[in-house]
Amino acid sequence: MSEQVTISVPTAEEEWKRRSGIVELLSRLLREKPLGTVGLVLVIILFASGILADVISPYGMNEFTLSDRLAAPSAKHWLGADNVGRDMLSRIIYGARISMIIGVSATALSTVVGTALGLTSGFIGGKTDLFLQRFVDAWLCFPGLVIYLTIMSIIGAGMLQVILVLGISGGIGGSRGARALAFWIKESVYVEAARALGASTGRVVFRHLLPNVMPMVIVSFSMGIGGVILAEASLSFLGFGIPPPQPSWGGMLSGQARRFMYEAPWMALWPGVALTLAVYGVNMFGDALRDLIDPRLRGGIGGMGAYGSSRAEKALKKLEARKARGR
Amino acid sequence: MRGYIVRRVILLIPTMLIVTVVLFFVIRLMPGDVISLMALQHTQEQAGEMQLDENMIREMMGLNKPLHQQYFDWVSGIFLRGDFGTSLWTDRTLTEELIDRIPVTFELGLLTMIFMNVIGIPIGIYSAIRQDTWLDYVGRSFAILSLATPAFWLATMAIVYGSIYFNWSPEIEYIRFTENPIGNLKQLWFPAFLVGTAGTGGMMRFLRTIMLEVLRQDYVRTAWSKGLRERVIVIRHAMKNALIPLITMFAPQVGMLIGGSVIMEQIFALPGMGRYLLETITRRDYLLVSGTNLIYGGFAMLMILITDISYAWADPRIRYR
Repeated sequence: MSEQVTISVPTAEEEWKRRSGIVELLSRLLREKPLGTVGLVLVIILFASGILADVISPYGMNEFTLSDRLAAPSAKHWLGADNVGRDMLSRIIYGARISMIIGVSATALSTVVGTALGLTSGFIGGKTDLFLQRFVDAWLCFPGLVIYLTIMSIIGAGMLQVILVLGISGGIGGSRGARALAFWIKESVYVEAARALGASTGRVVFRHLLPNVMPMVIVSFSMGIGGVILAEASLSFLGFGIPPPQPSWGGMLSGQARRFMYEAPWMALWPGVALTLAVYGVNMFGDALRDLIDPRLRGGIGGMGAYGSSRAEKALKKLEARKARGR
Repeated sequence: MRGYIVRRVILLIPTMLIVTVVLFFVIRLMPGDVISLMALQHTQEQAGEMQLDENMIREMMGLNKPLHQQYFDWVSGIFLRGDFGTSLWTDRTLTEELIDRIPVTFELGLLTMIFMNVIGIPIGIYSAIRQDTWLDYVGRSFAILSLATPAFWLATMAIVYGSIYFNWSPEIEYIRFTENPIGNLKQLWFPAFLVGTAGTGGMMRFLRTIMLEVLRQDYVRTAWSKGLRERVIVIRHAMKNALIPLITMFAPQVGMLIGGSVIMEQIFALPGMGRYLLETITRRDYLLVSGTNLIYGGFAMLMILITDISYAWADPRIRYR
């Protein structure tokens, strides 16, 4: 395989396809990125618990035995039981399902919204760009949690609502990175070449732009999940996320439960441990994936990502400076 | 430089305008049943006194007027008369409340920022100058963990285990700084420390990356070959340049501090702005909610402006465009 000689010059797409060969990526991850591998294992555990919750959890998510109220960790309840006698382990496992669903779907939504908005703004440019960017600027002025709380109280608590709020809002913030990248790519030689050959705007966007933005999209997707899981936990903790009997990790640390934690400290311990491990795993895996897919993207702020990839922004600034000199 | 500042300030006006429009639509276009929820909550909580029914709430919020009129009334009230709205429940205006509450949140934020930088800057720099030693690994692991650990969990753990093992629990009554500065600091340092630790990871990693880049620059090599001591190179040559990009972290930090303050004020019963926001949201006092949001938004906008201007001022390579 490795001895094969290619005669044709690989296009950007082929290059991308070659590098994204999942098997190769995975073997490089195992060889080069020990922390990323740990992250991958944690991500697999998170997803497995989420998907197989009905099969592997010893009790139902709201199944309670009053006689086991506040029971300490034992063979019967590995992580103890809560104030109404629900098994902590089962609730943690079902909590993984909630975190997984919200993490993946809100991030997917925000990636789609962000990429679409950013590419539109960056590729069309001009007045449209100016207008859209003022809107994005205005939106970014609101501190995340504050505006989430406000909107959640108006549209009501619930899983779909959390996904919509975190997804759309994250997308608006994330669009800046995609916009910067679009500006950068728009000026690149291969797009110019395609244009010179008479390619239509649609063709340039779908055949040249999107494949080149893909690495960043995948990276920002994997880097975004951790932040979304934490944001959902904070919202649920404050009582505006996933409504109670549902076992959200953030929600398990708040409300009624807080009064019983002094008697049963395991009620405070495990949801947080699960949360930290999940976010840690997702972040580490995302970091490693970024290094493997596109090392140029390294050096971002990480975490919330509201200010986009610093590299792409730098590139944009350089470009603007060049334009200014040209004028 | 002055031209740059003027241009940035002028650009704030359309952004501020859009902020008010966004906020207006987010809050006024609430589904109709929210009004009936408000009325229901009102009758439940204030059974004795003045009762508000749905129509009265609509009238008080001005919802029976045409939309553009509502927007104009709201914006002109704020910018011409400084009237951010009055509570539907307590008759206190938002301005009165904020005069009491902003100092609390501001102090908490300031302390948090101090902790964040005092912890983050030394570790970030040390990690870079001793790259790939075991202390670097410890520092980096701490940074990564702090990115994953929510401050509200740390606070919960501290309160629960503190009370079990050390018989410690946070004060319930808020101590004003003007009355008892030491008691006040004793009360505030811990929540600030928690948010500071939880928020420092991103900064540490950012600083380490920049510092590593700076340490590979030609002028640092020149300094080494001149035979300067390491301390001089790190502090006088490398750090000076590495700390400049850190300015860009200021605005995102403020956003994080505000989120953190909402949660910490709730957990530690501090009467600040974040707690007030939660109270008004829970009461569905939406006139005040929009005012509070606007103040948060305006403040964050100001911080972004300050960040950009100080970055342009500190780094002469940046073109003022």
